[in-house]
Amino acid sequence: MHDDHVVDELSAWLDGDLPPGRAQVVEDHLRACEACAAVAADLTRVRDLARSLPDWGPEGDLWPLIRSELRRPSGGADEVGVIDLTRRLRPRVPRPAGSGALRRAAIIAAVALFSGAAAWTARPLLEAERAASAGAAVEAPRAALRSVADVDPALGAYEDEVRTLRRALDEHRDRLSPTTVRVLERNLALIDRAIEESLAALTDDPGSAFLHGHLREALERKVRLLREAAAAAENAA
Amino acid sequence: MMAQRVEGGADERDVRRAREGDAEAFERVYRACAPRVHSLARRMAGPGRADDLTQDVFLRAWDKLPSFRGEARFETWLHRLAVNLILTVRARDRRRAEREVERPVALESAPARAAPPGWALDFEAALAALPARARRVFVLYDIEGYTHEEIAAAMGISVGTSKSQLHRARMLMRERLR
Repeated sequence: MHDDHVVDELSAWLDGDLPPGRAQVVEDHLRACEACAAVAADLTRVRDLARSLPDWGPEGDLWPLIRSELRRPSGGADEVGVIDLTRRLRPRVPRPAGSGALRRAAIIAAVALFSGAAAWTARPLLEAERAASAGAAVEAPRAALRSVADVDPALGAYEDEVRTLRRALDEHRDRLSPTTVRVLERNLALIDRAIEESLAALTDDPGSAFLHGHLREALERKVRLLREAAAAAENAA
Repeated sequence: MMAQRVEGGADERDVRRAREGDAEAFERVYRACAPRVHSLARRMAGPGRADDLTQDVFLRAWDKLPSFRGEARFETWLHRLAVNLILTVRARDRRRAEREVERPVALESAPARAAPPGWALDFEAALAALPARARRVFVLYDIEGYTHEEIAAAMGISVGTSKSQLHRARMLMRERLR
């Protein structure tokens, strides 16, 4: 039968936390008591196993998600999450009666505009916009100047609203927790996808009242979400 | 803050480049350090939250890297950041976190992973079943090498409580591993 008082002190004894006199008492007891000695041996093994426990990482690769949310402007060639906002703020120009490619480029640019400034944009959209911009620069530079208003003039008012809210949000976004930012981005990405799909569908069916209504609804959702997020960021001390 | 388990780790040049904003270098840093951060998160907060916490740690690290001056090892700096973040998140969301940590079936829902030896899986199973506070103290002291004074400061408890929780955790581990 082991001594409870000694057992209670075994961790402290193992860690060298007992005063020398008390440690000697414990050691003397361990030499005489097999039960307590067995407990001490077990605790030593637990401690030693803990110290040699191997680390292993997540089952899936978390890097793509992390990378898509990196915010700090990059000094290197890899400008993660950074888009030149001024490039999107140039004056609108009349849409040329162009080819399908031009129209697609205009739509992609419009989607990129409504996906907002740099940091909050989903990565696939960034890549699409870069590709579209690069292609349009050769084929038809002005195609990249398109906005949602070119697809539906009645929705042009949302552009200024989105830009204003985006600036307000960017100004205080560091106050939001990474978890909040992640939730916000996921929701924005979903809305952006709805906008993108509506715009793409409107290329084939420009007179569809349903598609125009769907696009308007998505834009309103985005404005509402940005407004709430900007207010939350501003109020977060 | 002392950490015993600093083997491996990120390349100093990658840390420097990441500090300057190089995302590709930061990816290499992530690859080198993710297993340790994820293991810490999994053991401290439970398997269900480990992925999210790991992401948060590396996003926070990216934000804070410009302030890293190289006075300590990068791994030590990152580890301290991870412990603080994990404990902060837990304090902010204590009730939900307690449910997850205390839930005995939490380990059953942990995704299967390749490579760890059998004894390590058994050990992690026993660890996951510990009461939350005892588990955190055990992880920080016996696995991560922090002192009771450091644990007490980080967790907002007394040194005596840290010691008693450690002993409680070791005794429970002994029972579950026999």
